[in-house]
Amino acid sequence: MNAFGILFELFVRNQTTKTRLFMTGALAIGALLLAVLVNRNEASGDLIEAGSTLVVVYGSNLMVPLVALLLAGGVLGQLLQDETLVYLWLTPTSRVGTTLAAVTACATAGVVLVAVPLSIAALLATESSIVAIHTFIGSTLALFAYSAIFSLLGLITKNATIWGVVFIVLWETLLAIVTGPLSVTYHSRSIIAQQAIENDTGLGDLGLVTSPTTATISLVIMTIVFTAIAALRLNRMDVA
Amino acid sequence: MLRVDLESLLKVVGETMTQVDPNLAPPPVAWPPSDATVVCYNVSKAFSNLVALSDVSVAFRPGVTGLLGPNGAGKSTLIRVMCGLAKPSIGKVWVAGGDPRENAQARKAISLVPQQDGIFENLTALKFVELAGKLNGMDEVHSRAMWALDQVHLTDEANRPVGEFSKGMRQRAKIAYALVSNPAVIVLDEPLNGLDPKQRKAMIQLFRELGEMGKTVIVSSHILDEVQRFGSHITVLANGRLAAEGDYKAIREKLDSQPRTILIECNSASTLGASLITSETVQGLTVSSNNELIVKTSTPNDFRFAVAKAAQTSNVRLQKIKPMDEDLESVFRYLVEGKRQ
Repeated sequence: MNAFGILFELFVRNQTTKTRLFMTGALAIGALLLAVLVNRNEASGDLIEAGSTLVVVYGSNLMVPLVALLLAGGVLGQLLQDETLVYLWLTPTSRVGTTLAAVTACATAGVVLVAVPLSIAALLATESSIVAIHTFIGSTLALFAYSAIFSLLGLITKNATIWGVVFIVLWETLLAIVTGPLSVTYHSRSIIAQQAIENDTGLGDLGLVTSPTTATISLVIMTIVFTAIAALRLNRMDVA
Repeated sequence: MLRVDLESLLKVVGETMTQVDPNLAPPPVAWPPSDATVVCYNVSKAFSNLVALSDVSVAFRPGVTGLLGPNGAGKSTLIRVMCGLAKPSIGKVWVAGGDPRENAQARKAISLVPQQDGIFENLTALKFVELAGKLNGMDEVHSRAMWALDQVHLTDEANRPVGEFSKGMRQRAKIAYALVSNPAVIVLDEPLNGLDPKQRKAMIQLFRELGEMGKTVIVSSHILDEVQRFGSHITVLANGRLAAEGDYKAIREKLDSQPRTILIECNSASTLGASLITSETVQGLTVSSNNELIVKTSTPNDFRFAVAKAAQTSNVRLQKIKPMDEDLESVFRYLVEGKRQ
């Protein structure tokens, strides 16, 4: 196994604590229960709209960023604070490799813990495999972007969780009309609710104005940019 | 900008600092030694309003070196800088010929046993030690890790999570982590903290063996008696500056300004004292008991003749003549505190 694989395994092991698994599991169960409720209460014609709304509001706006914050907020920052980063520092592994492994580990754990149950919830709610696939793609890309952002946040602040929640509530939710294309949710919603928009179900009113292609490219760029900044930050900082 | 800040800081404390561009100025002739594995050249390190290291040039060679200094002297900062954990504000560091912050091979050549307790709690001792081997791209990681654990007597605990370990066991696991990749340079920051006397003895023996194997072993410790047992080569820091470097016995020889303290045991201390008090070789004299006399002299060679003559003329039988301040602790005090024992 190469250094990336070793670090990936270490980060996954470090971040998937019992507490975090319990919290993400509860959110996933919530999504599945809500999906069943939505499916039972809606007429078949409105299933796409109602199910997509559920996935966008509960999944894209809440579950995806929260779980990404839980996983990535401390992936590098915690190592700095508990002074274990020193063990990774004095190895030939590059800082870019370490950062990339951290972001990938958090996003991959997030895919298993969030994107998969959310896609199942989308399938249960809408009975549409297309919506489920879009949900999986949108959530996965958003998880990578959030993981990069929150990994960086953990390196520049000691209170990554608090600042992460402020970021989610303000930047990603309350100021969404202003931040628009500069927010992650804007793009993940565009991908997840694609089917609902095509069906002209009214989800376009939520501010979903970009194409899935643009959204995908934007999320990839966000991931690359924030991972690069985090690697640069890691490379320049002093370690205790 | 940083240099201006540093300079102004140093002026505040009444010191001046040599402006050296590490990229332009060559190291002094015949320095560092050709076999040096770690070289710090004109290294200064400032943290906001504190200068932790000032203009330190020091080279470490194969063998065991004790890194000494009182709290706040800059030992841990020097260790962090030489391991590439912190970037020097001014100056350069080379480990095995490369900058440990930039060069992967330089990082591979050096291992650190950090002072702090932080450790990957959920890994077993074996997994923890294997991690270092894997990240350093070693073959046969498992057998190497078991060897390293055996060196610190943790083989029986290999499959226990390090989070369950006592402080002493954690310390030994950290030493195994540093050993597994077979580095040329091993830096240990207060490595004997938390170890019981038996473990301390075993670790000191291990460090000596590593030094004899040709490794550069740099041990920071505040327990002078232990450093004395590592060997006689020391580097002393005081107030962020290099106070002395070399064999501590040789350093003591060079401390001409410090009078030697000599204990004389004889059958009548007061008689001998009365005879010696007029000698030009004696700077001070204390009769500590009926048969013990403590003398201070700046000319120990001349004093030998004087004491023999005084004993003969006063008919006193000399039983023992022993220097009291040639141990490491006395040298350290002279260097760091400017005090006599």
